[in-house]
Amino acid sequence: VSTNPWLNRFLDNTQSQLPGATLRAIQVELVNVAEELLNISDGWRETVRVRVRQGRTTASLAADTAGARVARLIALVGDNDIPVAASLQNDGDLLLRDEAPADATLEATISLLPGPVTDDRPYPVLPDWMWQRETAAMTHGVLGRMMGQRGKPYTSTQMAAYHMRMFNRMAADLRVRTATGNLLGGQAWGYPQDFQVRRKR
Amino acid sequence: VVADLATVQNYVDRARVLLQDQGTTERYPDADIVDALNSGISEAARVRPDLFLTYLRTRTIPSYSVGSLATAVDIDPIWRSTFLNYIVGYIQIRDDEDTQDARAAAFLNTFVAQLTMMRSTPA
Repeated sequence: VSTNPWLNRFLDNTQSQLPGATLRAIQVELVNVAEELLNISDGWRETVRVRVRQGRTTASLAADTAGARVARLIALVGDNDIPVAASLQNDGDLLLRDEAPADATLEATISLLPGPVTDDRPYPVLPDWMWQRETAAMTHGVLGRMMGQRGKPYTSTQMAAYHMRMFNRMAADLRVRTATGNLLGGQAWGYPQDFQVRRKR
Repeated sequence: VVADLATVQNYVDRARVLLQDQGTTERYPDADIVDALNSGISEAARVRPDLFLTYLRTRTIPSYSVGSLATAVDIDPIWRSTFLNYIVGYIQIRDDEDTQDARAAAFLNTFVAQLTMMRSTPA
């Protein structure tokens, strides 16, 4: 039994609706769902310091949070919060558009994903707020993915569609809440996806 | 009473109850029942690989022998009694003298049905 009451709530909800599901199978899907939720929303963010060297265009970028990995670069600023043009390479290195004019320490805002799990630590490392605020979304995601599997006692295409719809709705909501800083009165709607003209970078 | 089905011996004892093989002279050797348990695990890993996820990374599944009846059987507690159906069906379908094909087939079908659908556990 976990000491995390939110994890217990998640397990109670999923196990009671997935008869015959093993705990291991639920843990596997939780990892997938947490990653998908954070990939959709960029909801887990932190600001880290990045050291750049004069004349260089690359710098290494890593998350400060143990057990987390970098998903995307949200912003990069230098002195006086002046934006610095850069991109994030697939290997995790920061690529500056221009050579650094001098040694400097920049501040990068990055979004995070949970790192790999192990047999001894089968649950993804997630910030406390995710358990407290996104347990329902993760529950819907796990139920949807598992009910969509073939040949299981808990297989239900109808319920899988329902839970995935709820998960996608909650993930989109988290993305909007993150973008508006959970500001009451901020833009409370997501742009209609039918009108989407470019993919998230 | 064998309630928990924790060890290989537990499966052998419980299977004998269903096979009505609790006389002073046992009809079915322990080795046959353990063989049936191993076959059931193999079949379950095919139908429900999620029951043996960790093993399947290395393409292995749990296997037991008559020489280690006290060994714990690594099957999720909620699925243990289901394997009794396979053991009984497997034993009965290979027994030429006491064959009840329909009953054996029913046990084997129940085993797969329980793994893949919402079904009760008669065993």
